[in-house]
Amino acid sequence: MMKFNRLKSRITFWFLVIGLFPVVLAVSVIYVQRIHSIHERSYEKLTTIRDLKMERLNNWIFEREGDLKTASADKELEDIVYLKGLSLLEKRQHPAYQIIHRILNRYLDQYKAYDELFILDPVTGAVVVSSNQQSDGDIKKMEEYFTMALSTRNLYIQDIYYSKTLNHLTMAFSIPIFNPEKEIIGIMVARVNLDESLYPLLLDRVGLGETGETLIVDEKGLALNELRWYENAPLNLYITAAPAMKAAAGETGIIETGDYRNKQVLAAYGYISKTGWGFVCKQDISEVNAPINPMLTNFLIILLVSFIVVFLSSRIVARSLTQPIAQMKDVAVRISEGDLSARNEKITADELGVMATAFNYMADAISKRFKVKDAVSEISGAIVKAMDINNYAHSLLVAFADQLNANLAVFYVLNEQAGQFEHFCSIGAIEKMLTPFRADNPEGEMGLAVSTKQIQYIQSLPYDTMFSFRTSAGNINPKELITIPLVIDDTVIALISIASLHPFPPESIEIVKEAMPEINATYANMMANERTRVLAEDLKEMNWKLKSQSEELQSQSEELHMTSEELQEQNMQLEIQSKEVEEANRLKSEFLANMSHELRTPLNSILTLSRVLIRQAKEKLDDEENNYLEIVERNGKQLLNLINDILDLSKIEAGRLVLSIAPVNLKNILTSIKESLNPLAAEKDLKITLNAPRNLPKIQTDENRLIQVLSNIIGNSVKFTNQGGIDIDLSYNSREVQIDISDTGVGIPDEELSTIFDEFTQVDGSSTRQFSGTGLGLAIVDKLVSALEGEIRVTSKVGEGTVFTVILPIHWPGGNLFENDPNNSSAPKKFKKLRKKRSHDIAPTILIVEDNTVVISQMKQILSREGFSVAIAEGGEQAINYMREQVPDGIILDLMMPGMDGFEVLDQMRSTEETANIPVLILTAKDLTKEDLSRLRSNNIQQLVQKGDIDMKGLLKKISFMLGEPVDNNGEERPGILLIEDNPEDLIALKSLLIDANNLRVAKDVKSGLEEARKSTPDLILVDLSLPKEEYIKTIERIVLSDEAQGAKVIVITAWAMKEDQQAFLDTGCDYLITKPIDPDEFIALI
Amino acid sequence: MLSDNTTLINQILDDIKQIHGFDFSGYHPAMLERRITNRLFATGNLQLHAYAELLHHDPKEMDHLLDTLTINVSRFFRDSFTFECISNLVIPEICQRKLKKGDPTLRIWSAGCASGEEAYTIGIIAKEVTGKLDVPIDLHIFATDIDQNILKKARQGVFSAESFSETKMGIIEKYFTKNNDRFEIHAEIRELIQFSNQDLLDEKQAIPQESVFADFDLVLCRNVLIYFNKEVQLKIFNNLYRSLSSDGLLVLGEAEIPVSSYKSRFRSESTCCKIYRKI
Ligand SMILES: C[S@@+](CC[C@H](N)C(=O)[O-])C[C@H]1O[C@@H](n2cnc3c(N)ncnc32)[C@H](O)[C@@H]1O
Repeated sequence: MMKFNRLKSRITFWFLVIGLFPVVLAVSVIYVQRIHSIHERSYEKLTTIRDLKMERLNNWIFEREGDLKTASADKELEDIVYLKGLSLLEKRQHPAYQIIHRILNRYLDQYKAYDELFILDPVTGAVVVSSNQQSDGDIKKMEEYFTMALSTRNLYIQDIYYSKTLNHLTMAFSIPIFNPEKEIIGIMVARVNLDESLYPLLLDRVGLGETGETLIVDEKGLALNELRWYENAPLNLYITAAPAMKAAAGETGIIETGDYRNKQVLAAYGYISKTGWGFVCKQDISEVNAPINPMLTNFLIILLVSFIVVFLSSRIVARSLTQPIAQMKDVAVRISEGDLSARNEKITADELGVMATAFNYMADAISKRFKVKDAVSEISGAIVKAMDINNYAHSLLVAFADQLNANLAVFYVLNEQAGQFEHFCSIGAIEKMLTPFRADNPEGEMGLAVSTKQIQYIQSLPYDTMFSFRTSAGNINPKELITIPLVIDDTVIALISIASLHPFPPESIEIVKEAMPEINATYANMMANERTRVLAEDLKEMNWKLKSQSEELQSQSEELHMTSEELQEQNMQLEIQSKEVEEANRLKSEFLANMSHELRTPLNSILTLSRVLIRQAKEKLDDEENNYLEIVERNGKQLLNLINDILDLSKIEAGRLVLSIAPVNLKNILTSIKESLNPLAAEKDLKITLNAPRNLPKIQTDENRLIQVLSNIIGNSVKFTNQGGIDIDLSYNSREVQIDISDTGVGIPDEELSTIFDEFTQVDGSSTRQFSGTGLGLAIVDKLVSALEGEIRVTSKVGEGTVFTVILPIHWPGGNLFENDPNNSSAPKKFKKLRKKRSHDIAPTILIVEDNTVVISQMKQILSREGFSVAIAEGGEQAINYMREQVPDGIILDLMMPGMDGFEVLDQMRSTEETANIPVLILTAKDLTKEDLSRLRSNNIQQLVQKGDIDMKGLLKKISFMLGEPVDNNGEERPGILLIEDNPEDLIALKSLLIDANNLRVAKDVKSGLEEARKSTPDLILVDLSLPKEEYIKTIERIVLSDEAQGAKVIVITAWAMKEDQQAFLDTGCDYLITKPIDPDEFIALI
Repeated sequence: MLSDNTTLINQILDDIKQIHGFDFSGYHPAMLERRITNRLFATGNLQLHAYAELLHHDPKEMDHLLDTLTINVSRFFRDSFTFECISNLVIPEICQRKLKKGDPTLRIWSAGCASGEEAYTIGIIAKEVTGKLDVPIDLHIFATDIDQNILKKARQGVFSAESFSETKMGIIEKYFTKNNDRFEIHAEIRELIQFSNQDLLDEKQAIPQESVFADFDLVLCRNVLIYFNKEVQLKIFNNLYRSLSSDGLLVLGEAEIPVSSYKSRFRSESTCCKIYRKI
């Protein structure tokens, strides 16, 4: 649907629709009717022409038939029989010939349409007599007109055909000639000259206009006469157009269709039965319809003119209707935008004018409402701000005076005791004159206000009025006056009078009325003194609550603040990390790919064999050589470690680095590193000096990792120093040791100092080539040092040297360590055994002396779980009492207890004979002083445990140390071992390691290995085969699953060291996996 | 001006340390400044040195400042999803593991417990979960804080409605008694928790004394680390790590993660809450 945003367009549109619709309708109907009648007329005309022509054609044929029938019936023609058998000359001489020739010529003369008339001999088909003597004797035996007439013994019409003898189109009529005996004695033939007879008939196109024509076709649609639009059509053109076909098929009718030119025509057709011709009479549709076009033009002109007229008049009407409405709309918009003064200016006399006026009234009302509202809100705004009654009254009066344009305003308050209204506050009045007046029955206007409790409005106060009551105006005598009673609980408790020398603005009363409820309410509030006080108190409390809440909120927001800061920082770090990790990962995997396991295999052989040499050839070599061997082994080992670590760099970074922490003698380590580097240093004439303080404490750390770190740094120093020496300085404080390694080498440029700990970077490429290195050393060092909880720093000056500083914690911060127990790592095993033992023997009794029930319950739990029997004393006295009865195997003693404390208990029990030797473990939360300690020492305590500074294992261990329980380690039988090894070199190495095994069997492949296993049922099957990974894994699976291997542990040795490979091997179900290179000690320990 | 402020703030911190023994030097400086400035305005001082002066004479203000500096915000079931995880996954798993080991105890520590909401929450959860098992399990739950005053409040176990914004109605009805706007926790839960005073930075005493030995199955240290710089966080982590049994679990606050040197020694148990397993 169309949408009109403007009224004017809408009106115009509908005007047009309504005005034009009948015109269009009428014109269309007439038009259609006219066309219809034109058609009808042309149909009629054409059929008439067709019928006429067909009649003429039929007549023509009928005439020809008549001609021939008459001629052939001529009696004289019977003489023709006399001419039979005569030669041409004889014939010509014969009178019969001459008579017949004359007869023929006579007919020819009578009717010009014939070309030639002749008679044929029925037997020979030769021309006996002809109107044209030249054709005498011609044989026409094969002609249709001869044969057909002879066989049908009747008249025959030969259709239009092309005659070669005549060289043009022709048509023939033939008929037999009978003798009285009804025998055929000749055939008479008449050849028709079409151009003279038939064709002019067809070419007569009267009534067919410029384009019409008539045509005939034979039964196949072949055109038989000349056409208007086709050259040389007769006997050449087959017409397939519908009228010709229909006519040839014998139908009659009229039709609108395409003709042989494919042009739309109106065609009437019919059938001529004598000759089997289709007849068509047609005319082009365009010509038939020609009269329609001028009529159409006329109609269009009529339509256009009426459109213009209607459109213009509708515009005018629309304009006159919409103008006032548009004006109203503009005014409405302006009002809605805040211009309250907008009004309709042009007011017409019609209904629209009335509407505009009403509209203006409405606008007036609205603007008045607005004024009232504004004024009221001004007034209430003023009084709401007031803090006390004085302020309130004053603000109220000012607001009234302002809003009502008043000259003066007075506020009276009811004084209940005095029974009178008293002046409270005023504007513009002379206070002296404002005396109080009685409350019960004031005069005049005030009286009315008080008694009716309604607002009083007096207009036009005369100068000398009889109402000479006392007004606030005193002697000013105002013109208008409004008096407002303030009513609370149905009593007037205050009065306000407002006076003006001029009339008040029209909306004044309304303003006052509307402001009243609020004024009353606020005034009531002001008055309610008591309630105000309560309110204030409430407020105070609320404030206080709010304040404390806001403090809480502040704390919470502080927390949120910290939380979000923390998260932000984490985010930032994550982002940086992920970028770094990406790059590092790429480089790392590239690098790892190059470190194939083949690199480890030969090193493995070297290492294993050197170990074998050390073990077996010790006596045969001298000290010097032995020393060399050891250096070879040590370096080889460290080199392998390094390779491992390089491969493990990912492990470190992924945090999978496993540290084994134990007390380490730093000096020994550094001495051995120094020794191992001495040959290299000696080559360059460098001196390595180690300065260590005497009482350097042992530090808790991972020894292997530390060696790796230090040998790397010192090795670097040696590598990069060409003259001078390397100093290793050790120092320590209570928490940390510091190792300074300073050299006099080439130094590191400032800009590279910051990146030397990054992976895969090396100080300038040239030095790499000079000094060779993987570029990983310092990265690993850095990682390891921080894994060891230490710190590494470097300072350097190019050309002067470099100082590396490593700081390590003395005490391992990650967990508790027991310095007096070097066998730390085997602790859990030992306890299992202890427990086992106890279940056989009588359980040792432990007395817990402790006042804290929480502690007691926990201790009791873990001790009974460990198989001890537990006794409890909740104080010193109780403990002493217990020990009088019974001597426990050990005591766990708290020092700080109410009543008799731990020290006293100790003193007492040590001085009693039976209890003097009971082992004691002190479990205390006390910060022990020197005196405490010496007191304890003198009392021979076995263990001291600080509460909250130990874990369960440690505590249990201390308890068993206290009890002095032995740790058994009886020798076990040596296991039978089967070694399956296919590499002769490795076989030698492994055999040499297993030299102590008394029960070693060897097989070279899996098959013989399994056979061997069946025979010897080994405890252990060691497999080391050099097979491709997949095949190796399959082989192991076969071994593990074989019957022969049941009951034996299967240990697999492999050079596939990557983590996922290891997992794949372990998944086969083998018991252990040893990765090459084999660490001989570890290997033997495992076996 | 800025460095002036820094020295003044440091001086104030020194005073606090001397008088009360609280060491704030490891807190984020920006946070300290914000908090102190807060007090500055609250007391109507505009100059930091004037406020520092005031602190010298006015022990009350000192208390107030301490209050402002130690942020004790806490709620029951704070980050309720985390506690859902704890009650549905973590505690059942621990119980199962420990029962298998023949050790029917549950050792839990709420480090930096503030007014105890967290500790009571975990108490309620532990009670609910273990109550459903066939075997009785001993609960040892410890809660510590550095702030003695807040511990007093924690021991009382009386809370206002704000503390329950993340708590289910059923829990409140089951474990609390309402007493004019205040909610008191039932004795059965209160008696489960051992409150004590402990400084997480104390290297000598890594764990609450009453618990004697470490081996905690579950340690909650939530919304404490955020206030400290990395060095202090590391110290706290040293203690937390020691306190956990092998396979023990550590629960941190929403915004907290293990310090870098401990990252490798904890495995995150969940992607959505900060629960870590010692490895
Ligand atoms: C914001 S509260 C966290 C309360 C609770 N953990 C929670 O998440 O709902 C932080 C608490 O950590 C305590 N705190 C701060 N430093 C501490 C320290 N060195 N040792 C122990 N507690 C400390 C504060 O006293 C405060 O009560």
